[in-house]
Amino acid sequence: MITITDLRKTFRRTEAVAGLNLEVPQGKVTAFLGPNGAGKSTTIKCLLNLHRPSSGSINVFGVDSRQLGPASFTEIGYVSENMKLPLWMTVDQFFNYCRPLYPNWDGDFEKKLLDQFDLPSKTKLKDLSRGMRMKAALLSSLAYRPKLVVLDEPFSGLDPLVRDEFIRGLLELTEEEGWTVFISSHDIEEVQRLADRIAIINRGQLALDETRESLQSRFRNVEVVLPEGSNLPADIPAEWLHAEMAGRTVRFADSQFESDAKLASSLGEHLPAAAAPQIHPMSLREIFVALARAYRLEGN
Amino acid sequence: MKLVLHQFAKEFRYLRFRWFIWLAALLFEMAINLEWLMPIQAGVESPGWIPFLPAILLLIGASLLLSCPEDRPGSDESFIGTRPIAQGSYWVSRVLIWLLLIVIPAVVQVGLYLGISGRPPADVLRGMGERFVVVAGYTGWLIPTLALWRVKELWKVAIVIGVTWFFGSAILGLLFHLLNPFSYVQHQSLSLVGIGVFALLSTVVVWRHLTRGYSLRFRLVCSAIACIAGLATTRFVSYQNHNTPPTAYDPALVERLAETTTFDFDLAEAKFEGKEKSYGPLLRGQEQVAIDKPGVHVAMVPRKTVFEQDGETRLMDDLSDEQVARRAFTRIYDREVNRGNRALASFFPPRTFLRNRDRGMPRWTRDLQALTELVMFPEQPPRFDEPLSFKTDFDVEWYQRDLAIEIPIEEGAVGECEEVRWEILKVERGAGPDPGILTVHLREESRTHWDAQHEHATLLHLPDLGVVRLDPDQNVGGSVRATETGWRHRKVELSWSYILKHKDGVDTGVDLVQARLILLRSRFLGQSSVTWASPEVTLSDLPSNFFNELQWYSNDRLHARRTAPAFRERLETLTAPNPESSEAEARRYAYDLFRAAAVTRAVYVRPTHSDIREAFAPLGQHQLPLMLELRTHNWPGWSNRPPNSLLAEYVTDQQKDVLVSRATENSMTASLVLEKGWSEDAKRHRDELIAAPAISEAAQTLLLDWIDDPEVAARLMEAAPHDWYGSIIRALDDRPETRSDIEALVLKEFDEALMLQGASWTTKWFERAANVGSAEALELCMKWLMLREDDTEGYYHIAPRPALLNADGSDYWRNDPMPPHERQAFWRGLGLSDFEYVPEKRAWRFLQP
Repeated sequence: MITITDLRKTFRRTEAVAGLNLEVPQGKVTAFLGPNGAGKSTTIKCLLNLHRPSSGSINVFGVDSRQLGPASFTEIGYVSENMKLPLWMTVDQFFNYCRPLYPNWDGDFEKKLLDQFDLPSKTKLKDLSRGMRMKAALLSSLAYRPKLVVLDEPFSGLDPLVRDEFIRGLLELTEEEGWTVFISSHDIEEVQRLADRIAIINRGQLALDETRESLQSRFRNVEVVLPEGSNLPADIPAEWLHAEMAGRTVRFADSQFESDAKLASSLGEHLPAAAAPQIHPMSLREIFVALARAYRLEGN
Repeated sequence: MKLVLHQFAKEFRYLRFRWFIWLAALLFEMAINLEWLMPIQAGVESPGWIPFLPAILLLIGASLLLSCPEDRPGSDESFIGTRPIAQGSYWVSRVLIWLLLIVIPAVVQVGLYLGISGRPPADVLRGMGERFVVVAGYTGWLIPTLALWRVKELWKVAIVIGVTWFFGSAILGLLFHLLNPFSYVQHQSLSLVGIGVFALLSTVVVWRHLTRGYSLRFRLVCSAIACIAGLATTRFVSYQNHNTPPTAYDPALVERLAETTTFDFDLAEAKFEGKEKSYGPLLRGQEQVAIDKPGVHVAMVPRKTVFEQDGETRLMDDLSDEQVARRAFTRIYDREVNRGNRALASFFPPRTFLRNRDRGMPRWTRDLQALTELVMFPEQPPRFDEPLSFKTDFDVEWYQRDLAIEIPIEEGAVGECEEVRWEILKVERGAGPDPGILTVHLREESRTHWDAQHEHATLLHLPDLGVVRLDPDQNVGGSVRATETGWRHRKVELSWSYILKHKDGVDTGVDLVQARLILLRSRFLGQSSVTWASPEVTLSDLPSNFFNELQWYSNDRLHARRTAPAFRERLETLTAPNPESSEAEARRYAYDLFRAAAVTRAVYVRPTHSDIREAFAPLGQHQLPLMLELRTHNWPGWSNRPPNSLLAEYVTDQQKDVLVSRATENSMTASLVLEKGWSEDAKRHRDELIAAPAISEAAQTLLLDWIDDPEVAARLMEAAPHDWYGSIIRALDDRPETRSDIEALVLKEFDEALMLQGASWTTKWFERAANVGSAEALELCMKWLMLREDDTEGYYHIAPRPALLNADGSDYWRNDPMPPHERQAFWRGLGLSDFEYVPEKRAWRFLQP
């Protein structure tokens, strides 16, 4: 659905995206994660032809993003935290305005979404809460049943309850409609329920791209106890992230976990005196934090 | 198109309340223009904000565009940035907003105003078209500007544009001044050209920005460049100076008239003059152009001169437009309407008295004696004392005057021409302290905008009195309304004093039913060219001030109020020459003496005359040849000419040859030659003086002494029409053999003379005609003298004074006992029957004491 090839985007002396390569498969929800300033929004704006790539290319529906025009936008739904809505309109006026723009606007679906999102039709957008405003924006981007939904930090600033509602609604729709969703966030917790696939961008480059299952299956938190007077050896494997020793206990995140036996073998090789190993699965959040810390160290 | 209208409807919904305010403002302005609100009254100033109303309205209109929601395709934060609406559709909808909500209402408002004002459909359509151009020009540039900038960036843009505009204007102004140091005016229509260039360049940047996305800095730089280009266009393309010709009104007529008109110059009135250091010497002459079309006159401007002397040909002048503008003092197009000449007089019956407003310098006589510049000599001039001939190419500027409106003086009278409409609202007779005053309250509508002609004058014709008043004595205007509609209007109060009664309270007997209020109009018809070839002429033969180097006037303040002491102090520092002094020392002394007398203005103060005379005495005693070199006509002042008077005292027969040889240089030397009895010796100049194209003062002195020579008399007869002081006329009149010829000449000149108040040259022909016995001339002189008494400050009103004798034969003017307040009644009460003509005295004698 989306193919990003060696994308670079420079703003004067700052390279926001530095050779990004990424495939977004059709019919899946891809979470596009990264710390603030990693290049997520810039990538999305290039994707939607709001910014012109400095080099490289993005293909959306097989079309170069630079060629995206009104016809393509009938197939793309886009919601961004920064999007400036016509706040002087009521919700009704807003949808009345959006409706004629899309030949494929589905009125029944709009009604369904209105019910689902519980939007007050006579209220002006400027009088809505931020969450309700995002719902209105989302509705205006979904009612025409786009093939691709692009969400740029859609949960930013929403309180947990609203965020949960928003996610639940989006989750239901995605499952029903089979949309391709490309959602960016700086916090994996926001998208872990939604995402089929995780892509992490760091300093403008792709750091990771795999399915949620794969990711969760290869990360484990490991704790072992060393004899009195032992030290953490210097030559521990690179896939053991953030290895640290507290008293006699050594903790690390194994980023290449395959099985308990293989881990035990690796421990025997690198920490032969280790005893009582404890192996725990990691949440996506823990994985993301571990990776984020690792990238930061790399950077140092 | 559907999406265009959809987008338009969305933005209109947002703007509708503001738009109603805009409509209300337009209605308010229309009500003001139509005087439904705050009607204007002559002499009463309307509120000061009314003139700013058109600009305020434009700002309100522009603010509508500025307040449109910032939401456009391609913007990375806008809602419709990623919606399926094309850039084209979006911008077409913006143009529709601009056109339908801003421009069209303003255009319709003008149409309504002009329609309700009763203008014909053609004027309504033209006014609407002009309004469209102005409003579109002043607001349209906002469309590309808004595409280029976000609202939050606008303040930065405003600063950059403002700073660029300020410094750009200053720098371009300086450059412009260096390149073309004239005062320039800018017309509104032409300033739109600069705005158009700015908008066009901005549009190019917008187009590139929307496809490529330029940074803020780059856009700021581009806008600054566009701003400078707009400014430069305005400065260098659209500015006009007062010397730039207006649009030619009828070039075809000019072409036809140019073919049938002969152009000549009368060198008898030529003047060879100038200030050597400032301009260089120049030759001016009186043009003689007979045009076969009433109301048409020309102004001639030299462009190129080629002269020939001793077989050598040189180009003297080939002027650029700028140089022509600098030199062509006649090229002030808007003042041609006020030229008092025969073209003006031809609109009225013969002997109609053209009266100026008498306060200040009357405009109508300003150019009366103006001579046309024939040639300006270059830095390396030809030899002025040897014959030369020249050919000059002239630009001939053609003007036509006509009486565009002529209406009776009665309430409700209406007159109209293409650019002005008059309606008399009220006529007041004898209002206020002046019982003779006539006041007309006039509603005047006139064209504005770029093709407006303002070369108009308001005349009052009183046929039964034989008088035309060339200016109202008072012209009190109220505020002007509807300046931006193409037809502005105002109410004016025009007043003329002493129309109904004379200054002494006696009825003038005017019949106002016959009186007409007239709009005199001047139109620049176009330009043609002509080449004039001079006869052979020796420039030094012509009257000249060229050698005047004293420049006394520039220093007179230095010694104000202490002229005599200052002169004496300076005199004491000079070493007078003695018999042993060298010529160089004597020259130095003479120069210092001239300077001292000039800068202290001692020549004008009688107590210093004896000092000056004494100071010159050593030169007269010891350096007489040097005294001969001193040109007495250079000596400022009329009453004391020491070099000349000293010459008379010290000159001897030994200096005869030198003195006679220089007798033609100035009239004082000529007089001295005659006084010494060397007239016969001076006759060696006779042929030369007779052949000269003009008769100088010195030549006149000598020729008058030889007047019995028939050839000399014939030459003097030729010169008589140009005789300012009348010496030649009197001398010829004294001779029985030339008397009848001089009478015929005087009556002919009287017939052609302009009866224009303040025209002293033509006044003389009225006097002279009366003096040779013309009863008509005498009557006109008395009428002129009577009317002069109506003037409050008659300084510029020179009336003719014919030779009058008291009943006892004494000169009436020598001892005029008449108190001023009785003069008007005196002249009014006189008729031809009160005089008898005394031919031998060339005067009219009162029959009663």
